Amino acid sequence: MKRISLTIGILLGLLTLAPLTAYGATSKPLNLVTSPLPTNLETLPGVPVSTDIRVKQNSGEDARLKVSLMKFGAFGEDGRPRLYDRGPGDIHFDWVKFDKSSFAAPNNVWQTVRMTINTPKSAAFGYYYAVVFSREGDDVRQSGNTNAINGGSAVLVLLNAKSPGAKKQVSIDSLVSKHGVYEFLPASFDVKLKNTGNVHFVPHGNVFIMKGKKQIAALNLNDEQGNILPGSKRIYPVEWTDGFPHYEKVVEDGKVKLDKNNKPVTKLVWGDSGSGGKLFQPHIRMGRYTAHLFAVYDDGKRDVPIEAQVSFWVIPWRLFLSIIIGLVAIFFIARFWLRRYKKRIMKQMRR
Amino acid sequence: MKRESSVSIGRIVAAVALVLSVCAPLVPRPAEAVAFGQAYLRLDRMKANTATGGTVCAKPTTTATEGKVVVAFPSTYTVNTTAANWTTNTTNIPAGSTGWVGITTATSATSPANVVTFTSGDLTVNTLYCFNFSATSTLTTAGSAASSQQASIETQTAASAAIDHTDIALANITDDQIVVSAVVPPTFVFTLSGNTDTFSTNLDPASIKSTAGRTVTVTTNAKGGWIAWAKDTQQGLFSASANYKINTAGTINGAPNTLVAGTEGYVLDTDLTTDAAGGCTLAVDAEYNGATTDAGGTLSGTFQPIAACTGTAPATANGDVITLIERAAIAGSTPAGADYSDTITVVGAGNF
Repeated sequence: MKRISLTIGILLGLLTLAPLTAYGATSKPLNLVTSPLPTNLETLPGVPVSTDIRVKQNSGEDARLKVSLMKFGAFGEDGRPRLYDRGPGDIHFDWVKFDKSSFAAPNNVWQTVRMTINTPKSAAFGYYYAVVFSREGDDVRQSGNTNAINGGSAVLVLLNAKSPGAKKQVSIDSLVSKHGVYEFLPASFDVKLKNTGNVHFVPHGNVFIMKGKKQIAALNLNDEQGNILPGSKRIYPVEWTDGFPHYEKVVEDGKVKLDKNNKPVTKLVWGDSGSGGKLFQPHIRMGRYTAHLFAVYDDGKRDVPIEAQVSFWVIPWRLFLSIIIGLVAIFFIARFWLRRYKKRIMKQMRR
Repeated sequence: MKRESSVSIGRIVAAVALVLSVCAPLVPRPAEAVAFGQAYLRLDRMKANTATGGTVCAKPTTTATEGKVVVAFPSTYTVNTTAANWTTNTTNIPAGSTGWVGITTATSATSPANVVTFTSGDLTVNTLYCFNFSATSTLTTAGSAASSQQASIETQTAASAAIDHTDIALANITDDQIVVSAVVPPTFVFTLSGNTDTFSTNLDPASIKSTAGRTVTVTTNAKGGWIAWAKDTQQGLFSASANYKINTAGTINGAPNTLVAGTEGYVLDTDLTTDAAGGCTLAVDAEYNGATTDAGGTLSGTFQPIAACTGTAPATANGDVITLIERAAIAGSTPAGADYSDTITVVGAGNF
């Protein structure tokens, strides 16, 4: 009887342990879709403001998602954010309420989470939140020698509490052409702006490509509608591609081919940009050009223009060299034949 | 004596009837067209008072030598009388049909009769022929919506004798187009191939061991590209049973650390697996870009950028993939334990 009880006990024990072992070995994929992308909010101090954030998980089975709040700042000069946990003085975290911070998320079904920011009257200028969605339980330490990988998707929320002391101010830190001389387009420019005010905003403007006094092209600055945070610098890249011929990135098997330095490999396309390589109204670029930046921002009272310019050359030197070599070759061949012809004529005259 | 006629009136009538019945078919009479086996006139637009082109199709039933095709439009339609505008082609005609033989630009277009005549080649019986006529300055539909408006298609010989003829009913409606509008929302799709990652073999003082790795795939229409960060709960591999931690190696200094077999260390390596087609260029952060199977970046308790995709707008991404691999080295004196593990949080977002 004792032996039977022991056997049953061992079996029960094994059955109890089995799910733990299986849990440790099973890995669940995570697929999170969030919308919108970084979103800008404005409000007056003391006036609540809300925004809806949509999320769905498409991992193959129902799950529970949770919402957590972080903050972000600028990282580098190209619009990349950096996430931070709440710091000691970050009372603006207390202003934020979600209508649900943990919720059931059936597979492939959109869920809407309402974020409300109850700004106090003392609120002023910019606050930068990151709303992070992740699956409940993924941050729990796994059993055995298995690492837990906790995935999350963040939606950035930029809040401007419009107070009387708000100062919108930007200066041009630099306008740089990546090269002084280009053989063929694209010509690339980096417009570096510095936010010297105390609120974020989206700068707008154009880079006009001039040849002498003639305008050749007008390129949009900040097509991506990227913000510049106060106290930070941001580089807005601008490319002038409309030339014949021009370089394009090489795409192989649906991805951009990179060289050993992780730089995109380019190829020369004998057609205007967007022509699909067809020789249609070719825009041959050569000579000295000027990129003239004209940007405008609203400082709250008026539009403030800011300007800068940089010159560069487009010299298709290999094309020139080929033409010169060709002309020289034609010249020598012609001279050779002329001399031969002359000799033949002279011979005939002598006869 | 009265002589009686040898031929009765009845016989005379019968004889006349016989002669007429024999001769009647020999008497010339106007030609009478036969209906096509199939015929239709399909206009490009049904909306009232709208310029349109169309397609004319017909299947001849009568054996004859065609020289013309005559299309008569309803009297409510407006026919441009410049014949040269009525150009034709036989591209994209209905399936199963044959390009109308010898069809050319119209030779005449009359109004108010609304008759347009095209030159035709000789057609084969029981073959469906089609041609399109231009929509530029040719035909305008009726001024208001109406149904059962009569049109016709007729083939004729070069001498204008009718061969086949079919009447057709056309209709107009107030609007014939549906405006389709759609919104593409701004989205960020973050996919992690699994929520666990295991060292495939036991850690060994003689060599560096790595996990199988997990991929992060990002698809987004964010114009400014995207970024991913990672942070670690304990900056090392911890064993509860041994109460011991194999600490992460090195410091965050923008360069990966290379582990040495026999010396404890733990790093996170990030590999660029796919820089998918799209506007942005994917790059792994220098700290985590281990070039060998021994190298990786220092794990931090705060979020550190591990990879980002940036570029000129629109810097979107359509399936960029990075692979996360944890690597560890132990010393001979590292305490034994079957539960050395860690929790790494990986978060992605669109750039601002």
